[in-house]
Formats: sequence, C-alpha cells, structure tokens
Amino acid sequence: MTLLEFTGCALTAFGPALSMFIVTIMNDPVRVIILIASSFFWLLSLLFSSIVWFIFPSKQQVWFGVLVSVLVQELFRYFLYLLLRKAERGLKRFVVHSLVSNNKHMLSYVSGLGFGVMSGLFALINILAEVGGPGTMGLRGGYSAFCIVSSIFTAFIILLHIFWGILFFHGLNTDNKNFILYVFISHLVVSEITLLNQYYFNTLALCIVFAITCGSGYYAFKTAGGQLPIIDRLKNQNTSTTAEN
Amino acid sequence: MRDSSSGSSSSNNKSPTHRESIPLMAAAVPRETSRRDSLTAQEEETLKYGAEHVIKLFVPVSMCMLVVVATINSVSFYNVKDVYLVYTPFHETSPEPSTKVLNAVANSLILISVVIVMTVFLIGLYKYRCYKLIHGWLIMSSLLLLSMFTCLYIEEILHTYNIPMDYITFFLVIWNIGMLGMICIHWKGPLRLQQSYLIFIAALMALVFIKYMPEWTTWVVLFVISIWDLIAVLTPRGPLRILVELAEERNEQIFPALIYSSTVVYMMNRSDSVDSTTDSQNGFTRTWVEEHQQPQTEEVRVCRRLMDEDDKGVKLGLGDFIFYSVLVGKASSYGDWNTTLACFVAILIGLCLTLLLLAIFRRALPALPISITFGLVFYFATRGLVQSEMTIAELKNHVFEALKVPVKDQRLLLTGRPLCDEKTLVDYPQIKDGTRLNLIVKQQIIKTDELEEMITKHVREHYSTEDTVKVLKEFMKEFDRSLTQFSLDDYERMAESLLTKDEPQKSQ
Repeated sequence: MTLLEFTGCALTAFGPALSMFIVTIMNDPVRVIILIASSFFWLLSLLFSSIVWFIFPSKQQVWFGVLVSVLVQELFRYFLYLLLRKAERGLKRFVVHSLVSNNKHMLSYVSGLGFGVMSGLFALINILAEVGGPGTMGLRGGYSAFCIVSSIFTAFIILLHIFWGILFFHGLNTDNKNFILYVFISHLVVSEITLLNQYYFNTLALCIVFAITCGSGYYAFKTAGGQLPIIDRLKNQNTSTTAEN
Repeated sequence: MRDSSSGSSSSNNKSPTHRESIPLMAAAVPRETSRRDSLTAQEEETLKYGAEHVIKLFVPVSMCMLVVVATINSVSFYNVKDVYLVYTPFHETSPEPSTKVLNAVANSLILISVVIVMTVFLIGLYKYRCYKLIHGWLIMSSLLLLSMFTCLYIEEILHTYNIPMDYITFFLVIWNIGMLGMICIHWKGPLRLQQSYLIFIAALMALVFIKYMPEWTTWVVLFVISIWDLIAVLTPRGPLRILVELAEERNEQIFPALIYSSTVVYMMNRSDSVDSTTDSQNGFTRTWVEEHQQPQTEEVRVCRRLMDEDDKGVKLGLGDFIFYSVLVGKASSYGDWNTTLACFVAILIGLCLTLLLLAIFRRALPALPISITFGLVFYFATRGLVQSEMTIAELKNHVFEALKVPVKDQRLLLTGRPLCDEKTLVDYPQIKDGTRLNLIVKQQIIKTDELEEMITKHVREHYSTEDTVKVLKEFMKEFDRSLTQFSLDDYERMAESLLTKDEPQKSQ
C-alpha cells in the first residue's frame, strides 16, 4: 500500500503541474528562472505570514491566521508583479529567442504555477514522506482517506494558483479592481473552506473547491483570450471541408 | 614580497588590455551575431546565454544536492555522529548552548585557518610555477577521494540494503570506478562522465562533511566559509583574486597547467559541443575550493579557487557544490522536507542572483555568500517559525521513539508544571533549545498512594526525577518490609502514641 499510495497521491497532486512544467516551461530557461523566482516569493510570503503568526497572541483563531496568510500571499504576488514588470523590459529584448513574452499571459501563468507548486509542495511533501514510509493506514489513526483528500486539494490549489496568477496580473495590467478582488476573495474562501476538513466535511469542501476551481479556470481562460466556441469552430472545420485559410 | 607586488602590479597593468582583447561576456558577441543592431544583439545574447547558463548550473547543483539528500535519508551511517574530523577537536558534548556555540566557533576557526593556509600555499606554488607539485597533489587527493570515500560510500549502501558482496567483486568495482574517474578527471573522457564524476566527488565530500563535523560547527563553518569566499575573491589582495590576475598575466586558461582545474573547467563548461560554442560565449569562472581530507592519517587539504574569464560558459567551483550540498543535506537530516525544500529554493535563487551580478559586473564573483546566506536564513526561519508548531503530543511521540515509554504513560513537566497535550511548543516560550523537561512515567505514579505522593513531593525537592523514583522505590520497599514485620504489640504501641489512626491496618 505504501508505494502505491505514495505514487498515487504524488501524481494526483503534482501530475498536472508536472505535465505543465514539462510541456510549457522546461525548454525555456527564462521561464524556469521565473518559476523558481515566483516559488521563492511564495516562500517569502510564507515566512512573513509565519512571523505574523508567531507574534500573534491568540493561536486558537486559525481562521484569522488563514486570513493573514492569504493577505500576505496576495501581497507578495503583487510584489512579484512589480518585479516582473521591471524585468519585462529585459525579457522583451529576446522576444525572438524566448517564448516568454510572445504571450503577455505567459509571465502570469509561469509565476502562478511557481506559487502553486511551492504551496502544494509545502502542504503535501511531509505527508507524502510519511506515506512512503512503513505502513500508513490513516496517519496516526486518523481518517484513512486523509492522504488522497489532501492530494486532491493540493492539485486544486496548484491549478487555482495558476488561474489566480493570470487573473491577478491581468487585473493589475488593466487597472481592473474586480479581478484582484475576485482573486482575493476566492483565495480566502478556498483557504477557509479547508478548515472544514477537521470536521470531516471532506466531500462538501472538495465540491466547493472544485466549483471554485472550475469557475476561476473558466474566468482565467476567458481573460487569457481563450474562446470556447473555437472548439466548435474547429470541429466544424474538421467535419466540413476547409473553405478558406 | 617585492616579487609578488611587482607580479601583481604588472598583472594589473596587463589585465585591462587583456580584458579588452579577450572579452568577457558581451564584447565578443557582436563579432558573431550581427543580425540585429550590435547593442541589442549583444544584450540579447548576454541575457539568453545568461539564462541558459543559469539552468546549466541549476541542473548539476540540483543533482549534487539530490545525491546528498537521498543518501542522508536512506543511509543512516551519514547521520550518526561518532567520529569527528581532526580539525574539529571540540565535540559539542556539553549540554550548555553557550559552550556549544563556543566549541562550534573554535572548530570553524580552526577549519577556516586550514583552508586559508592551504589556499595561500597553493597560490604560492602556482606563483613559483611548481606545476608538477600541484599536479601531484591534486592527483593524490582525487585518488584518495575516489578510492577511500567511494569505498566507504558503497560499503554503507550495501549495508543499508543488506546486499552481500564478496571482497573480490567489491575490489573490482571500486578499482573500476576509481580508475575510470581518475582518467576522466585528469586526462580525458566523455563530457557527461566527467561531469557526473565531479558531481559525485562533490557529493561525497559533502557527505563526509556532514558526517564528520559536529552539529553546530557545520552551520558556523558554512557561515564563515562564505565570508572567506567573499574576502578572498573581492578584496584587492585576496588570494583568489591574485590567482586570477596571475593566470591572466600568464595568459593561461584558468589553470591549464593544473589538470584538475582544467577538468573543473571542462565540467562546468557545460556547453557540450565545442564546435557550436565558439568564442562568442562569455566566460566566467568562479571555481572554488576543492577540499579534501583523509580522516585518520595525514591530512591533505587542497583549497583552490580558480577563476577565468576567457573560457566558455559559466563555471562554478566544486567547493560551491560541496557547501550547497552540505547545507541542504544537513537541513534534510532533521527529517523535515519543508525545510529542505526552502533551503533548496533559497540556494537556487542565491545562485541566480550571483549570476545576475556576474552579468552586471563581469568579473569573477564568489558564489557562496549570497546562496549560503539565503540558505541559512531560510533554514533557521523555516525551522524556527514555520515548523516550530510541534505539539506536546508529538513531542511525546518522539519520546516514545527514543525511550520506548508509551505516550499515555508520559507526563512532561516543565519546572514542575505538567505540559498540556494540545498545546504546541510555541505556547511555552520558556522551552528553548537545551531546556530540560522532566519526564514522569505514569505507571509508577499510578501505583503510588497518597503516602507515596507525599513522599515524592518532598524528595523531589532534593533529587532529579529519576532519582526520586529510585529513592521512592527503595523507601517503599523498606516501608513494606517493616510493615510486615510489625507485630500486634508494635501496632498497639503506635496506636497508643498516635491515638487511633492505625485501626484499619491492625485488622489486616
């Protein structure tokens, strides 16, 4: 069970991110660097929020800690945006070679992925390490589906971070407060919902997070210029004979 | 002395012209690529190659760390502290944190002075062109590394996975690995093989450091060595800077005379095919300390830092590999993956920043300070802040693992007050590293009646917990024995003197 569970959980959580990394990022050194830089920023945000938590007097109010953490994370996303904005001038120079700047959402996608991967790793890696060890049917006599539920949550969070990255950066680019507000609120909601897990409302929490993920995904997809009808059009093109272009 | 000054001054005179003729990062690029206007093209190339080189360094650094972390986590041998380096005579056995810190500082000062002496010695050798000597030294040390430490490493892996192997096969394997490594490193071999050997050597060295250095010393050494790195490369009379200037003055490629260094060049020069990389590639070398020792007998220590501006690709010294890996490996040895991950990312970012500075300043730079500082900060921050939420219940689990006392029977006391299971260590700010907690094993407490409790209370004022339990045990034994020896007369006499308190016992 250990190895199987380990592989299953690891791939559930990081499979999507891994394939995205391999397909879109690995071949471009600049993107890899941005990925690492953004995960570093996430680490900084974690550090900062843990400092706040450390000096915060009442440790019982977990929801408040979550609130602070979300706030700090979004703040650092903003810092990252400022940094990337400064670096963009440099990045634009090699438009010819690099795929980074041929899509203005590429930066936000990569940095979102960096945020997501890092937070996902921090959330799950110790659990995975225990799962890989000898004998784990419900860690410490806990709920036996704990690992898989955590993995699914992690996968959602990683995806969500990508979407949030795109929306947030887009909001900053276009000075649209709604995007930023949406990102913040959905991030907060998702994070607070995970608190339900301690009462074993896993399914409910998963459903809500899934819905938010889908919604944010669609929103981000639209923002990035994706069009769903294009699929239909492609289908039509495939079935009918291609008339023009 | 005059020699040296004149040597360096002449190098100072020469080096500017040299720098112009053999350009650093960008000057050569326009020659090659003139498809865009020269300035943009040049900067573009710079950035592009810069980014590529960063990745080309990330991969081997990560691989080296991976080897170290994987070994630390699977082979317990490297986690056990029993023997220490000769350079670290203070073993931090004292429970007092202040003494430990003093020990660690003393150890690392000894270690760093050895490094400094060796560096200066090597540069002296280079200055007076004792190439043969350096040569032999390097061959000796790498032979030692590849034979002895590989031996140790393979032996421990076999132990861990319980694989039997006879001595003849073992010897054959070691011989082949060692000889192939020697040939690859000192003569020639496929680039990949060379690279992997160098990574392997760095990983072995890092493992040896982790194994044979006392706990706190490791951290202090990391700190001190990065400061030394800074001084040696950047100050005008820093030994490594002198080395660069010497090499420049002699118009030698890094250390062409030193085979070992040239292999380092090869290795770090990860632009695989020579034909594709003409002189357009910028060159920066930060090659650092190859350190080396032989634990028991005579110590050989080679410290070396090579820099070159004339070569292809960005170069990173094996020493950097070693100390990065020491940091990450040490972090992972405490069994917390979050800390390890934080250190890893911090080091990569530090490396990134160093390379960025390299692109800006276009001269050899120390690679250790930024990365190691980041790594240390993140290590202690993550460990202290993020991971310190260990609950008392978890602590009891640890106690169970260490002492085999069941968790439900444990009572942990801090200055006499019991600790609450649900609370975390953070909730007890008095608990710091080195704080003593008293463990009371309940089973013995449960058996005690009021009398014992009372006696315990008094005895504990004078004895430690273990002793209290012992004293109590003896006392109760004595008490039981004398009780059984009491006769009815004794009881009556006691009853008379103490009024009627012992009535129920009398009936027994």
